[in-house]
Amino acid sequence: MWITRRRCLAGVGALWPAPLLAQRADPNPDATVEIEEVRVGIGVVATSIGGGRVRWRGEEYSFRIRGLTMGAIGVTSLQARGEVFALARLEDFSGNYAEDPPETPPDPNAPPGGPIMRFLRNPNGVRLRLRATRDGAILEISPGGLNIELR
Amino acid sequence: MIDGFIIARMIGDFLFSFSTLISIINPFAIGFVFLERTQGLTSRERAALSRRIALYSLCVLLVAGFIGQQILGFFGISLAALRIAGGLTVALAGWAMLNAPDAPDSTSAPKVTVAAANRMAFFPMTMPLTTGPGSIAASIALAANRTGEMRGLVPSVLVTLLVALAVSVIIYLTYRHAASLARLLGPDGTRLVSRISAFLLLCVGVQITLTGVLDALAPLVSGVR
Repeated sequence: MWITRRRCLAGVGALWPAPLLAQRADPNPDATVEIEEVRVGIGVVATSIGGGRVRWRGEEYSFRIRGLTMGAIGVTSLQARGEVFALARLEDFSGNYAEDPPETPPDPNAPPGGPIMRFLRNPNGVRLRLRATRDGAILEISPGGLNIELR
Repeated sequence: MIDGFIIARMIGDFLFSFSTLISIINPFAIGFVFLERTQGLTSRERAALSRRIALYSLCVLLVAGFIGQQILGFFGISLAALRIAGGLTVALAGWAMLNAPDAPDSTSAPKVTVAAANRMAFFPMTMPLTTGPGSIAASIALAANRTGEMRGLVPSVLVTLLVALAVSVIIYLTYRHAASLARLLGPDGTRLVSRISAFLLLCVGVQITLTGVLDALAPLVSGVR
């Protein structure tokens, strides 16, 4: 009976989805971020309001954000969440984040329809992993990068 | 502190909740149901009835948003039970409308008196035809989610109030002007849209019931597995 159970557990381990194993291999994030932005307008004639919160060592700090690309017409709302890595000092969090795709390509066997991840890095070496959390919103970063400024 | 982040979250949440509730309530389709059930009323009487239904809907949405979870918990009613009961009521209303004989013209259509119309303002016009179990369940779920995410009572309360108010205004305007829309479509167009609305109402009722049944059966099924 015991052997059967152990075999079962081994079988479950072998069948454990690869993306979950990859997530486990991630280093623990140093902080978490939340971003919220609403854009109103048509094409280049548009205005937006928003900002973000970073939770670092039990404290929450707000920041300004520039460089998110959103829908071209009407009202677009974007909500994103993510993790921050290699953040030793809070001052390092500010800066211009450029796209920094991970070295390991995404798992081709991962189920489709999941949120699109954006991997970013600033000149201080701080890395950011972001994903849109509201259905319908597409998280796009402008070519100039994502500018974050702590308040 | 209210800053761009909180304002953007409030706007985003308002848009999400408003569009969710409007698509569930679908006042544009139910406006024709309202029109059919208020044959014989004058334009002014219909406007007064629309105002009353919108006010009742506002109350239902506010109660569902603020204390819906507590009320259901007090009576020991699950969301699944609410969905099954309400879904069946909506489906029955849709079935009755779908099978009602065609009125040859507006003069021979069944007439309703003001007193009778006022009596049906809450049941069935507000509940379950306008703010039925689907919208009540959605209001409860949206409000619960909002309170968890907003990190503040004031923004959360404000969004719940604004969403309920905006949805009620849309309900009032669509019901108030349902006759104008029917005139625009003509008798045949109105009859067609009414039948399609009735069929959709039946489908919505069945869908709400199915969701409730699936919700109720989910723990049993997972227990068997």
